[in-house]
Amino acid sequence: MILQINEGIDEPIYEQLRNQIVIGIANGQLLPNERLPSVRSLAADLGVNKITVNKVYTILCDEGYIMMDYRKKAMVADKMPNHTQFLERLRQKLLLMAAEARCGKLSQEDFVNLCLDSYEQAGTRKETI
Amino acid sequence: MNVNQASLIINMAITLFCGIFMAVVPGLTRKDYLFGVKIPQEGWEHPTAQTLKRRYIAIIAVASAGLLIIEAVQYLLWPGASMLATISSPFLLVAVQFVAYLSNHRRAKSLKRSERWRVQSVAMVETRSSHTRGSLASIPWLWHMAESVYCLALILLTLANYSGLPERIPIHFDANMVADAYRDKSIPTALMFPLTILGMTILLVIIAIQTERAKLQVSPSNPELSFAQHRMYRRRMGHALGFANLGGGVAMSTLLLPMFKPEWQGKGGASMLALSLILPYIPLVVVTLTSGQGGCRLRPKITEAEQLAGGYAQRAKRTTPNDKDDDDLWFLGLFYYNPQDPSIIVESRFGNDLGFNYAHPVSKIIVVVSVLGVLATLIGIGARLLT
Repeated sequence: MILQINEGIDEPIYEQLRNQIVIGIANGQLLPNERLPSVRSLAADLGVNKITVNKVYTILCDEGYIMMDYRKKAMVADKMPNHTQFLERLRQKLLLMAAEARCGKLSQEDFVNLCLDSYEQAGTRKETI
Repeated sequence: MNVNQASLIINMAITLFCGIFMAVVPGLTRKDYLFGVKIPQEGWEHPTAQTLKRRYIAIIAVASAGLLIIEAVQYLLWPGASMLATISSPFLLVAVQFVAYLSNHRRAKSLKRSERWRVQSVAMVETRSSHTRGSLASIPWLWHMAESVYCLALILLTLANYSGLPERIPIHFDANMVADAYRDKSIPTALMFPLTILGMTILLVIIAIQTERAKLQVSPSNPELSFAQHRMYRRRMGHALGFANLGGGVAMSTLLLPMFKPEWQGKGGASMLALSLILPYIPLVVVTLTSGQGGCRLRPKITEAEQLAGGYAQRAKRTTPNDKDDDDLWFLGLFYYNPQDPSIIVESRFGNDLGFNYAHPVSKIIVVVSVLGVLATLIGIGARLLT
């Protein structure tokens, strides 16, 4: 998949990369067990610090989306380990979104529909986030 | 044809070759860069941009024509001074090119300001190609392996036949490939040519690896095409470099023949020398001239994988361009200095070649070593002239 970083926006680079890789795994652009570029070559190709890419891989590894072997080679995880932790993290994020929905006076039904739509969209490759 | 006439023809050929090579540079450079300044797609066909390119070509053409006239005058008035012309004319052309580039670079910068062109500071990478390039899997290793085997065979052959070699070994040849300098037989002398070939082989492998590792410049306006062009360009360049390595090694090993069989000396003569100096590198020149920077003149078929990979890149078109772009990282549009970037080699912004990231420690070492090397040579020449 094509990863891109935009230095002109407020979102930090490591977050841009982390989010794109998660989206890529969700919609099948990155397949389970697919090798990801080494820290050095990804950093060199994007022209960013190796520490940034290392941070991205460490976060993704902690969250269980990717696996790192003893030589720090990253590949897409084939299954999500530690289901309870994952659910808890998701719940935290969703809580914030639900709070925002309430602030915006969104009805429960509309919020649920939004969730359903987004779930569909994240699974298709031609999505437009 | 006497020596002076031959020198005149060689000088004029060098000038013409350099002139043509310099004149095509703007055409080979990616359209996203105008004399080292990053410009958006709407600027590609801007009349001032076109005028700048025409102006540059006109300056190079006038300078080359002037040099040709000077060389002819030199031949008529001081026929003995042709060596001076051979050495100085490429330098003069490079100086003219530099001045023409700098003035156009400044104009391109002010054009960008006055037109308020804003460019996205977006960097892109294709994960699969980044992975394969990082592991150097797509270099056509067969060429380099064949050349290494050939090279080792030459060394072994020389050592095996050492006792049968003549007592005086030719170490230098004139233009007709007749030996004009000899040295007493010893193992280092016998191995001089094979080891030189081995050195060249190693150098070409390093160049092949660095070319493969060099950072890809991706055009944000059409990333799918950009990646496909890079893929095609790198494959062609890889084979051209491999051919140059094997061909160059084989061509140079013909110098060994007189060592084994003195009666073969001078067979083929000057044409043989010219062929062996030119033939191995023809594919490199052809690939360079036909592909453009990073393959930007190629029209490859975009594979399904690239199409899928690019689905996302559509985002780039919607993100708003901003004032923050990487022009500041390029001093004069020629020297890249980015301490954050771990790349050592990057694509140039002017011309179809590669340059250093001068902020990288390895680049700094290379620069210091080359400067010291040049200084040492100059001091050596100066000292010899004085004594």
